[in-house]
Amino acid sequence: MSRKKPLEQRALTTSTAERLAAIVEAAERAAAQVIDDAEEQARRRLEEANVHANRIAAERLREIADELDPPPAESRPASHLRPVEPAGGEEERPQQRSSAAGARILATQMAVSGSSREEIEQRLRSGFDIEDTSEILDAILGPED
Amino acid sequence: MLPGFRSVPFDDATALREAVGKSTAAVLVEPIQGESGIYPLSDETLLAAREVCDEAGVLLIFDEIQAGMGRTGSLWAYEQTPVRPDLLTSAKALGGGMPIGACVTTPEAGEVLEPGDHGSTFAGGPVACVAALAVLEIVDDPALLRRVRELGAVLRNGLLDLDGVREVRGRGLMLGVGLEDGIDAVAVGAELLESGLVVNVPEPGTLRLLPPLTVEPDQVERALGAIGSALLSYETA
Repeated sequence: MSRKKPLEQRALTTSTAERLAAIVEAAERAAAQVIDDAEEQARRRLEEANVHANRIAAERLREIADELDPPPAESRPASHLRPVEPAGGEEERPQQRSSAAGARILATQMAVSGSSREEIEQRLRSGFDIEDTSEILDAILGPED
Repeated sequence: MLPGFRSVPFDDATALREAVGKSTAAVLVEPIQGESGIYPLSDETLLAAREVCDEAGVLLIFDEIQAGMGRTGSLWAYEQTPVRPDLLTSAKALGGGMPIGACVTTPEAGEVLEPGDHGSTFAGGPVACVAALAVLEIVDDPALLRRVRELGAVLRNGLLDLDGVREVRGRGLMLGVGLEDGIDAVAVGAELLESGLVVNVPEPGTLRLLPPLTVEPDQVERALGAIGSALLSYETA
């Protein structure tokens, strides 16, 4: 018994498949268009929001600046701001800064090269006038168990 | 010293700062001076060197030919200092017996060098380079470096316990032994040579100890015994 479909039936099947493919293609095109539109809309709204946020920030900064340093009036001198002393009192000396940074570099380099916590601590004590080495050691090696 | 170098007194941070000017290209230091008798530069001087180099925009170079390659218990001596050089030099131990020298730079400093800028006839010789790579493979081993530090500590503490020893300088297995006044280091060195221990006398009153990084603990003990005996015999002589 032959399994072949009759000629008319085969033509109908081909035609149906082609139509289905065309429908799917059209649906995909429509979906892509919807996605593009949505992305464009989102981009536009984001830009608008950015512009709005920047405007608010600029206004606020201007307000703060005016509060701190009002425009000069005839009754007051133009320059009325005085230098502000550092909050920490006496300014840290450069030597102290480089020494503290040096201690940290030393500890880091020793740790990377495989030295133990005790070895680094000993070296810090002998080379630098640091009473409590635990802060540096904890920062680099992690807290002691 | 090649022309163009200006030397400053040892470990003098102020003199070092003052020596750096507009025409300075680099500051070259040996973090632990070897040939003069094992004198480590202080942290203060090294920090000053780093600071003045940063301020003036010049390079800081460490000569690590003697102090590098695991000698002090870290691959490079700078790793036990509070600064990081821009360049370092290595040689001798780097080749494990093969002749080789190397100039190691930070990536930033290395960018100014093109192939051929810093070369010589036998630079990059494959046999020497393979030897250096093999040495690096062995020396850059945390276990070996830890051993150097531990045996160095044993040697240092043992030396400090000996009569006649005034001070011990250096790190790891790079130690200078300062003898008490009146002790003739040359005579002590000669006596040690007789007993089978080779030490160097780089300056009057100092013994320099640079044992192999593979030295065994019992050899360290024997060396301590020999040095103790030599110092004792000198004192009783």
